[in-house]
Amino acid sequence: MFRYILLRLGYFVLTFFVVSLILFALSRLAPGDPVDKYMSVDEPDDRYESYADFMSRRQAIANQYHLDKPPFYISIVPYRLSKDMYQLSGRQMRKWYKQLVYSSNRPSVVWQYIDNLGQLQSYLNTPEGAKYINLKNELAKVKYSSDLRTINAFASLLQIVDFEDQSEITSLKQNLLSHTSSLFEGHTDGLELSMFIPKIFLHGTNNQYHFWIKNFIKGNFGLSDFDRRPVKTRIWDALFWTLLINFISIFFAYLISIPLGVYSADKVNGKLDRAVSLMSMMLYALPSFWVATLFITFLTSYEWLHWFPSGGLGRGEGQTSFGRLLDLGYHLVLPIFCVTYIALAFIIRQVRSTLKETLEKDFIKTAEAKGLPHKKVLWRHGFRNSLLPLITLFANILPATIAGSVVVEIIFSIPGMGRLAFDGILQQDWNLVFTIMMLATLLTLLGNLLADLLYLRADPRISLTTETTADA
Amino acid sequence: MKSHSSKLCVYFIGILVTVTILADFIANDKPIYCQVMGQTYYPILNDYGVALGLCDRQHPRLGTDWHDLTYERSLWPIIPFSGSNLDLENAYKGPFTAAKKNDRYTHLLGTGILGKDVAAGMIEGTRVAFVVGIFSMLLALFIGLLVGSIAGYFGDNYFHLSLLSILFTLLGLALGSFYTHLLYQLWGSSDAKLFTTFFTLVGSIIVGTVCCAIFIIIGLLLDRLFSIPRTRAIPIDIILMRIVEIVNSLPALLVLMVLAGMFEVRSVWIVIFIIAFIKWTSIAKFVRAELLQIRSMDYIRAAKSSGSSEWNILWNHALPNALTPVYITVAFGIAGAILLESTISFLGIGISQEVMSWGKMLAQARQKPSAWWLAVFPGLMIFLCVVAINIIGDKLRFAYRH
Repeated sequence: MFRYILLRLGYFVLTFFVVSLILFALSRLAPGDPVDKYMSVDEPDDRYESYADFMSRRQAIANQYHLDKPPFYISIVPYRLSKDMYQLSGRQMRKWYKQLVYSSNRPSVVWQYIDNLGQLQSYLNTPEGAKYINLKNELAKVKYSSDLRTINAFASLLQIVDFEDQSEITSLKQNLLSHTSSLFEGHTDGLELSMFIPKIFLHGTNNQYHFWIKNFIKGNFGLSDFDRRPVKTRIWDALFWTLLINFISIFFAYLISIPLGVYSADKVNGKLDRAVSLMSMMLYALPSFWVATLFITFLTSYEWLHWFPSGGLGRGEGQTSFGRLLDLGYHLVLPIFCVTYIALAFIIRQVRSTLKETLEKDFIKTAEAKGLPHKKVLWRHGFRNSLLPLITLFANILPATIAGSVVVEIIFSIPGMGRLAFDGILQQDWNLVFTIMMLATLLTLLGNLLADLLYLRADPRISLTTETTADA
Repeated sequence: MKSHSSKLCVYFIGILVTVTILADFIANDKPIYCQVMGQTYYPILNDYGVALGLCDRQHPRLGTDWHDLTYERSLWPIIPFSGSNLDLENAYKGPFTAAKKNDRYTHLLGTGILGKDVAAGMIEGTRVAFVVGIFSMLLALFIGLLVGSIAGYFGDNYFHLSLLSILFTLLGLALGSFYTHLLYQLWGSSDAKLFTTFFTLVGSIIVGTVCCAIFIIIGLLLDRLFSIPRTRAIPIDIILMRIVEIVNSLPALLVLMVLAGMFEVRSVWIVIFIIAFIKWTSIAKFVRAELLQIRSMDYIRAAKSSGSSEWNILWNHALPNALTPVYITVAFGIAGAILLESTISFLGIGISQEVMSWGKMLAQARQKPSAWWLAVFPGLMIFLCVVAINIIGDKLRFAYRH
């Protein structure tokens, strides 16, 4: 038994690790460049005195969010790439660097080329540089481009631009010209073989994933990309509403489904049983967003019946605390109804099948045979012995209803987790979104773990391979 | 469940599948056949031809709406609109009340935002729902069968490899992922078109997989060449079931919302792939459970003792017998996929803006509560469709068990 618990915990940790890897990889694929986002890119270079200033600011931000580090403990890259790449902050920069390295013949020059372009750009943004408007336009095209023709067009324009007597910028121009010409020296259209030879880098713990997961485990979720509030407080605020709605709904769902489930299991294929199974199937197929929309249309609008508010939590200004509570309850009637029926459809089947299984056992027959009243057998012996599976069911229901309440929260504008995640997706606030994903997954995994351990408590014979042996 | 109700459901789903196939001929903003100024046109068929690159577009007056023409003779679809057709003068009009210009073109079930025809939207929505449901479950079936059958048939003790093969497999996995990543970067361009993004991804994954497969085959060949004994049992069941648990522990709706929101292009196919990724686990679990039972049956032992190879037994003897219950899971899965698709369409994520779907029409109802037809009809379709599929699934399950 101890060995089982240890193994189960080991599986939990392993699964969580892999899930975190998947979500981390996804979060790095999300559109938008975090560094750029933090610097509010639209007028990037104008606000900084010099190129060095701008770059140091970028670097500082990247460093703060660990974006100037390699993504993982280990990376397999084409033989051509050097570790320099990881100093580049920002995804777009890195991508540009890689594309240049792949398409040019001289990887060593790429770094200087990018740096010089940046310097030129910051010069063109100064008042003196502002008159070279053509060059500025062309530079905007060539930035983040690895296309040979674009780069050549830029070089030929740069060639004819006369920077008068500013020696510094003229030397920069000469450098840049030599870089551009050497970038594609002897360029052939075919790909170099050296690109397809892999090389392994080991980065140690100084990588993005390490900091990301460390911060997550510490409970330090960082700032929201959108409004710069701590993700933790945003989630904490939202979690309250989601849990409130879900706990109330699950409570009601249990309250309704236990008597219905018990009595329908008592007479299988009886009238009640048939009605209940038909109802549960209907509820199962009823999309919550449709029910919510119907409520919104017919019960909250002035065109039909304005019985309920159409959303929100109610402000309750100038009322006593009891009045505020009442107002809140009034606002929550429809959402709770919607979540309740989702949970109900799920629970009622489970109650019925669990009870049915218990009622077929020998001790029920014994109890009946010794002449106990039927009701007593049903509740004392039948229901009591199926309590544990029903309680462990809770561990599975909670994640399911939270997922179900996502849509309900969005429709009734309740500031819960679902609403938060939805807004996060629309606002491309990936830090928030992936933190919510991690938490939701963690909750599901913990639920599974808890359910398994509770089952173990109920039936100590259980083992990790029970399923296998029982079936075979 | 009485048998006639399930028969009714089969008819209903049959009709919807027919609508899916013939949607263009049921609701379209152009006639099926018409005669204008002595010339005969088949505009809908012509559209198909243009899409396939077989012929040029034929139109009596290019740039004019087909509704505005005067015809000598014409045969229109039952609903003379397409789902994204605008009729700006008739926005949010109730059923039967609104007509475009003359009585010939009536909005049977009313209109929604910008005068989009509800009936046409329902037809188009049927197509979206069933395409998503069927194709995503086909894909999920493929993945689920592969994973589930390997996990169930070989279990933890029956899949053996030599150390050499294990090394080659790991090497193949590493190199395969490397080339997938590299090719994705090389082929990928910055412009986010569906064609480029999607096919780059699929193409690079295929190349990576082939690379991985080559290494595995080399490993197996080397084993055979030097007759290295396969001594190490791979706990393949545990490994695959862990993967299933991982995918299951991800919150499905959130994953769908986030992944669909992450793509800069929108398409039905992206939604299909994501739903398949979410749904294959239940099929895999089912196949595994079936095969665990089948593995110990006599006819498998007979096949083994007559010298069939493991893979031969798996594909030709074990798997065909496990399929029936799998089809039931697929039936329920289609209903689930339709629900998922309409949910994210309702939220405004996922499929492209031009295509109408049931979920999107429901979303319009939220903006205009007085337009009850927008709230009732599309939702009813989703509900009926899901109920019908579930009843059929229940019936199949009942028939299988008894």
